[in-house]
Amino acid sequence: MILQIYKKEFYKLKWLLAGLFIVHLGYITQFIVDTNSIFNLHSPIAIWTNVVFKNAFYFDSFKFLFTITAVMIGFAQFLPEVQKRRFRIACHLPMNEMLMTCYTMSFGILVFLLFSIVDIFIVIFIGQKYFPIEITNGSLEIMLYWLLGGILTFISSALITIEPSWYRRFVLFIIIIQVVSLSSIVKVYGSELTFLPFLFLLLLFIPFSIFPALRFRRGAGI
Amino acid sequence: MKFFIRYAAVLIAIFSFSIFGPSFYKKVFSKPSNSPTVFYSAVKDCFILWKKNEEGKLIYLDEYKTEYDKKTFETFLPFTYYRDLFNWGLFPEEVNGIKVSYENIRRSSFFLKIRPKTINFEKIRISLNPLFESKSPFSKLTVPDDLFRITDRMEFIDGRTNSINESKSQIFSDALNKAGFKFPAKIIAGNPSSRKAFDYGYFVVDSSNILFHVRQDKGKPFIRKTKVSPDLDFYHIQISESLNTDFYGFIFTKSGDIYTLMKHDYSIKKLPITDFLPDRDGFIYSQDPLNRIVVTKNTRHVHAYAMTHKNEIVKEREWQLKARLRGTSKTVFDMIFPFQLMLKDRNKASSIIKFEKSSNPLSALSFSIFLIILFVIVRWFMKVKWTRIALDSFFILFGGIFSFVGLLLLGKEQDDVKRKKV
Repeated sequence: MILQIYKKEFYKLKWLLAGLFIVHLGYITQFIVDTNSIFNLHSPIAIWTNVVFKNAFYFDSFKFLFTITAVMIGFAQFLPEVQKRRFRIACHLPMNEMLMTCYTMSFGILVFLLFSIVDIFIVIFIGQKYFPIEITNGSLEIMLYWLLGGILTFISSALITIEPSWYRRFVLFIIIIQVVSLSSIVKVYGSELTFLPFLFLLLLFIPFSIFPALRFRRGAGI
Repeated sequence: MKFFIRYAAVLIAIFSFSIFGPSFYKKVFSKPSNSPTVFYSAVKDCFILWKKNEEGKLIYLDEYKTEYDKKTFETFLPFTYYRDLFNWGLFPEEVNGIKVSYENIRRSSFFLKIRPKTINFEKIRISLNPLFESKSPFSKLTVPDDLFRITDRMEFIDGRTNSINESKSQIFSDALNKAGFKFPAKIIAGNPSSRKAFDYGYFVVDSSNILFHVRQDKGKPFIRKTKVSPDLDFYHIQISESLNTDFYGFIFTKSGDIYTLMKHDYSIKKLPITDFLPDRDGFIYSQDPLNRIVVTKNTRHVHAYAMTHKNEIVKEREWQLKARLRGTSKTVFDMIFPFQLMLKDRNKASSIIKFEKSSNPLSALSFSIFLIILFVIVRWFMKVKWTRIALDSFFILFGGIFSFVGLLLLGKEQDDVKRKKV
């Protein structure tokens, strides 16, 4: 059944995925060209010291890309389901509705992970050419925070979309906004933060995401 | 499962509101700080200061609370405001019986400010540093083509190729080995800026806690083992290039002692400072032809020490600071918020997620019980099942207002309602 759900989700998102592929390709190309031109124009030591002493994130543009990718996948996956009430039909499939919601969401998460892990891999690969290992390791850590933040953003946008009641959508937005913005608090290399609070929140967010789905199936607030 | 889902939502609400609620409250109810900027006046032989009064106006006064206008205030500090005093023709020929001149002030003045945040940044930052040429024939320091790290040896990474400069790394590593350096380095302290008149190089604490002076003189390593005892619990070393001091910089220990590292023989001299912690207190050092002044500062107090150049205390004074959240606002804060999650710490360079419980847990608990009573009444009228009310109340007991607001906002589900009408 999971493969059928993934197939359905793929057909639903194919145009968005194509668009995201082009956008990510553009970002990566821009990143490679920018990094190369900065190193051609300036002294490498000036760039390195800027990173070490002023915490310049040379990969900063990817933070926005991760967020926007997560939001777009979340909306694109669940908005059509909600608009035409297709999600209620899906909930009547011969499988547990919670499991079905989890499978549907896992497709979105996997797509987001695919795009962002490729981005991270390229940033680190290019970074290794220009920067010492300490800097690329620091970059990897920061991008992993953004990755976790992106997953939380995806789940948040999905559950706000599925939630049938506008009042509840507003409440969810109030509750979630602070949590989603957490990943943006990482502003220095070697931050004293740990991944633990993010993983804990992720653990809470997975069951939380089923909450509006159950309400939608029941038709609450419509 | 539904039970778990519902309370996952409540836990997320607690997490979110405990960040937003207390920080919003503080922004609204905090009052301006009354922290003074303290100087020592050799003319008046007392501390003088400026600070903002209750109306937010800047006032100038001495330690006995006598107020002055700005111009009179500046005349008490001839070594700080000597340019103004020269312009006004008010510069004294001598202070405390000692002749002073413009040149004399320029040659002996020094100022250094270190915040806990700066020290914290040094602890967490990527450990790559530029090694300048200390005996350069040029008047301006040139940024090198490489950065160094000290791990199992001293390595120079060439910026042009992003690869290790083997020959230079070998020369410096051999020199360090020869001097008895034990790799890796625990602390690498220096001034990595090229905007300085000259360069002292770096002071490096090795793995056996011995302090070394590492410099590059005409392309060759200059390594000196210092006399500093390896028993010293090094926390931070702040180096500052200046011809006006007889020391390279300051050594801060974990226990809060501060030493000056002397230029002539690498010996250390303890500053007579008490009640100082480098990860909590700011440190301001200034000197003029007559005195050395140290001011330590945190959120609770400002402590000022005026000393002779032999580190003998002339005068010492402490000012207690009012908390920015005080009075009724503080009482209410401690009562309504049982705890808070903070994403920032003023003494840290990096963001953190810090849990801090109410400084009055008893009043916070009382308020939580009040909220439980209120919640039970509301839910009883809404005909919610008693088991659900009991579980929700348990969350309010620990999560206080955060759980209360979260539960009220999330509302009740169909399953929560009693099947039989009461």
